Amino acid sequence: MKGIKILERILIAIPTMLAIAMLIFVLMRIMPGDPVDKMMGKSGNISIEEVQALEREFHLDLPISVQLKIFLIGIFHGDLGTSFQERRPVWEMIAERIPPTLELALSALLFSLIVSVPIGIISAVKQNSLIDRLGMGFAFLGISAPAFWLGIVLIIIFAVKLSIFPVYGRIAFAYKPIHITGMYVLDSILSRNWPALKDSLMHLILPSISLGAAQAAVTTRILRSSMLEVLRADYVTLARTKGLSEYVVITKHALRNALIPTVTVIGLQIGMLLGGNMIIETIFGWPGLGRLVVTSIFNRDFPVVQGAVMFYALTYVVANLIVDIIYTYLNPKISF
Amino acid sequence: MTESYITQRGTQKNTRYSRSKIWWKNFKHFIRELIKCRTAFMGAIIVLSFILVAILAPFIAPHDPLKASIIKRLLPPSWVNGGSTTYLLGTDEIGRDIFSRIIYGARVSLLVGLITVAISSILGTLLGTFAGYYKGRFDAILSRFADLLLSFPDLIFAIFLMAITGPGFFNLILILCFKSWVTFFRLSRGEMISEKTKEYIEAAQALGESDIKIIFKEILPNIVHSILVLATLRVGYFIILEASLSFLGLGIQPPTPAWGSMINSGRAFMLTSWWVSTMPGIALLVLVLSINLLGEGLRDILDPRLKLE
Amino acid sequence: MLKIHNLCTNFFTYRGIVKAVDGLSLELKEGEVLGLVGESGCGKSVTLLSILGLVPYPGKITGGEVWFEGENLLKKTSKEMRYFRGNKISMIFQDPMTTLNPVFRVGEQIRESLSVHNYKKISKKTEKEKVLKLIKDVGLPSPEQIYQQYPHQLSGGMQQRILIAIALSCNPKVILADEPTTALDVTVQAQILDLLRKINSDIGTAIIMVTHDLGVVAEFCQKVAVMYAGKIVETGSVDQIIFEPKHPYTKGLLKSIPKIGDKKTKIQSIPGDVPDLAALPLGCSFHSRCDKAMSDCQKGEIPLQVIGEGRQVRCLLYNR
Repeated sequence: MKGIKILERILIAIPTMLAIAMLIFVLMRIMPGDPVDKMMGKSGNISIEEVQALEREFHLDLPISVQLKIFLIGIFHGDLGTSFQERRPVWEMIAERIPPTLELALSALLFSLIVSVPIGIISAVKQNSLIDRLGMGFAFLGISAPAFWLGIVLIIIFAVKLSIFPVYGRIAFAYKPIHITGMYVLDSILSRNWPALKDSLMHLILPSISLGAAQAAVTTRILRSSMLEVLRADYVTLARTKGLSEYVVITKHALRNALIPTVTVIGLQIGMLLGGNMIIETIFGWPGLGRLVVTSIFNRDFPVVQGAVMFYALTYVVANLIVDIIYTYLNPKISF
Repeated sequence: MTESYITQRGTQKNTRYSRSKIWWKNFKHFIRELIKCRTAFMGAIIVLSFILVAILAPFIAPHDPLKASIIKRLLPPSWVNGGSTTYLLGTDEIGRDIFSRIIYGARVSLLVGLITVAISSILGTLLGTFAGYYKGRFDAILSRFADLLLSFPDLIFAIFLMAITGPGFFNLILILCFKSWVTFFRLSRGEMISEKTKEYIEAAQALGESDIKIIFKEILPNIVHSILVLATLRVGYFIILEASLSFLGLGIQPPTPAWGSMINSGRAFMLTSWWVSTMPGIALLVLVLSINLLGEGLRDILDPRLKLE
Repeated sequence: MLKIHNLCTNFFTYRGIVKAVDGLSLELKEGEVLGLVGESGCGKSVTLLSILGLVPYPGKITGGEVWFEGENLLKKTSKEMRYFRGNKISMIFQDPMTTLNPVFRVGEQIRESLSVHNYKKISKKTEKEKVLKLIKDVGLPSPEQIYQQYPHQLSGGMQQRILIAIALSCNPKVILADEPTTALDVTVQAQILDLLRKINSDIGTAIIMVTHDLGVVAEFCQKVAVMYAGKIVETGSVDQIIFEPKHPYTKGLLKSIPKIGDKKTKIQSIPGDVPDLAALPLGCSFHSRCDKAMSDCQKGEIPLQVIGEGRQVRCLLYNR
C-alpha cells in the first residue's frame, strides 16, 4: 500500500532530524575556537564576571552530556535558545523570517520549472534543432555561473541600467499589504490589493531568476536526457500505433516516465536552493532567514546561527521527504 | 578503424605488452580523442591557461594586486570613457588594478578547487572502495554517516562551520573536505559493488590474488574513469563554493585577492562602477565553464570507449 | 484487402543510405495469415512500421504504394493515418515488458485504445465493460483484477495477451505481429499462437506474422513470404515453402533447423554473413553465400519471377 510506504519514509526522517541536531551540537563544540571568545569578539577588555555570566547563560559551564540534554529537550519544546544580539527567543526570530524565505524559494522553484519543463521537452523532441542547441547552451551557462554573480549582473542590467525592476527589498513601503500569511504576493491576491501585487511581483522577479537559474539548468538537462531515452522506448511506438496524436504521446506517455528520474534530481537540487538562498537574500536585501544567518554570523550571535542552520537542515530533510513521496506516486514499481 | 583501449582486464605478465606500455598507449589514444572533441579540447586549453596564468602571476600581472591608490580609485575599464590601458579592467574601490587582482585571484580559486578535490577524491575513493569490497559494519557505519552529512546543503554546512572556526585558507580546505569526500565515497562504493560481481574478480580470487592486489590492480583501473570525470566536475563546483564563501566574507580574507570577495566589495558600487563586481565574475564564469566543458567531454571520451570491447 | 506495391524505405544514416526495404510487394487477402520470414536486420519490422507510416528517424519511405481497402496509405497525412492506426490496422510487438507503459495500469492502456477511436461516443462505463470482455477474450482470468494491475506485476505471457487485447480492441481488419513470441517461453509461445489462431478463425482478422522462426511459420501461417536484405526472395503457401523450397536461401534456412531425433547429421548453417545494407553487392544480394551461384548472379537486378499461383521466386535458377 502506498500509504504505508509514505509513513515509513516519514518515520525514517525523524531519527535523521535528531541525528542532524546532534551533529550540529557536536560540531559547534569540537571545532577550534572558544564560542564565548567569538561572542566577545574583539570588544576589548571584559571582566571575568561577565565571561562567567555568559558561560552560565549558555550552559557552557555544565558537562557536555548535560548540555546535550538541555539542547535536545529544548528542541522538543521548540526552544532554540535566546539570541545574544536581540535577547529574543531564536524561534521567534526565525519564524518571522520564514514567509519571505519561503516566498522566494517557491517562486525560484516555480521559475525553474516553468523554464525547464517546456525547454527540456522540446529539446528532446526536436533534437539537434536550434531550440535544442540554444537551450543546452543556456543550460550549460546556468550551471557554470555562480548565482550571486548572476544576481548582481541582473541588478546592474535590469535595475540600474534599464531601470525596469527595483534593486532592493521586497516591496515599497507604501504598498505593503495586510498581513495574512506574510507572503506579500499571496496577501495582496487575498486582499485584492492589486498595486501591492504588482509591486511585490516586481521585487520578486530578479531574485527568483538568480536563485532559480542554476536549478533550471540542471532540471532542463536531466529532463531532456530522460525524454530522449524514453522517446526511444517501445511503449512510445506502441502509443503511436494506437493512433494517439503526437501531443498525447509526448505529454501523457513519454513525460510521465521521463519525470521519474527528473524528480529525483530536483530533490537533490533543493539543497542548492536553500543554500543559495542565503546569498541571494543578502544581495537583494531580502529580509529572510538567509540574511538573518549571514548577519548573525558577523554578529557572533551563535544561538541564532545554530537554530537557523538546524532549521535549514530540517527543511532540507522535509523537502526531500516530499520529493520522495512524489516519486512514490510517479513510479508504480516501488509500491511493493 | 578506430583503435580501442587496451584495458587491464585479463592482462598476464607474459604477454608482449608490459603494463607501462599499455598506459602509454591508452594515454596517447586519450589525447587524440581529446583533440577530436572540440568542446572538451577548448575547455582543456582554457583551464590550462588559467593554471599557467595563476602560476606565472607575478610575471604576468601588470600591477601589484595589493597596491592601493586613493587617487586612482574606481577607474573604469580601458574601453570605457575615462579608462586607460594601464588599468585594463579598471580599478576597485581603493584603487587596486582589477586585472592583476583577477590574475592573483585565480591562484586562490584554483588552489582551493584542486586541493579540495585532490584530498576528497583520494580519501573518498579509498574509503568507498574498501567499504564496497568488504561491506560489513565498516561499510554500514560509513554509509550512514555519509547519508547524514548529505542531509546538509553544502553551502549551509560550510557557512556554519566557517562561522565556528573562523576564516582562513586551511580552515576553508578542512571544512570543504569534511563533506566533499562523500560524493566520491558513494561513487566508488557503487562502482566497486557492481564490479565485484563480475567474473574477472572471481577469476583473480581463484588465482589466489590477495584482496589488496585485486582492489588496486584489477578493479581500481576500471573505475578510475568515472572518478576522474566526477573529480573534474567537482573542481568547478568547489571553485564556485569558495567564491560564495569569500563573497559572504567567510572564505579567504582580504586583502588577499579572491574573486568572491572582489564581487562582494563591488556591490556597494553597483550603481556607478559596475565593473568592480562584473569582471571577477566573468573570470569565474569562464573558468568554471571551461572546467565543465572539459568534464563533460571527458565523460564522453572515457566512458563509452572503456565499455566498448 | 491489403496490397503493398514496390515499397522502398531508406534510412539516411551518416554512414550512408541503408535500403531497409527495397521494392517490396506483398498481398494480403481478408482473413489470411501471412508469415514474413527472414533473419534479423533484413527489414521485416521496418516493413510493418512502413505500413503504418511510423518509420523512425532517420528512416523515410521513399517510394511505393500501400493499398488498404482502396486507399493509398502512404499518401495520407499523419492525422489521417491516426484513423487507421489501432483501429483498422493494429500492431503487436516483440517484448511485451518494454512495450507496455510501466506507469499506467493495463486496463487503462486497453481502454485508451477504445477511447481514441471512440467515434460512436460510447460512455466511459461502456468502455470499461468492453475492456473487461476483451481481457476475458484473450484468455485471462479475473478481468476485474487484471484491469487494475501494472505491467510489471504480470508475467510475460499475460503481458502479451494484454497487448493482443489492445490490438483487438477496435476490431481491426489486420493485425501486424512483429515477432510476438520470440521473447516468451516455448510453452507460452504455443498458447499465444493458439490465441492468435482463434482470433483469426473466430473474428476473421488477417494477420501478418513477422518471425525468424520457421517452426512458428509452419504451425501458424497459411502463406509465407521470405525476405532477404530488404527484398522478397520467395513466396508461396506454407506447404510449398516448407516442402518445396525453391530459393537457395529458403533451402538453407530449412536445412539449418535441427531435427529432433536426428543425432547424426551436423547442423548445416548458411556460410557467410548477412550483407551490410548500406553497401549491398551488385546483383543478387545472396550470391556470395549461395552454393549455386553463377557468374550472371552478380550482374543487374534479379526480378521476382512468378512461377505459379501465388508462387514467386527471385532467382536466376528459375528464370525462363
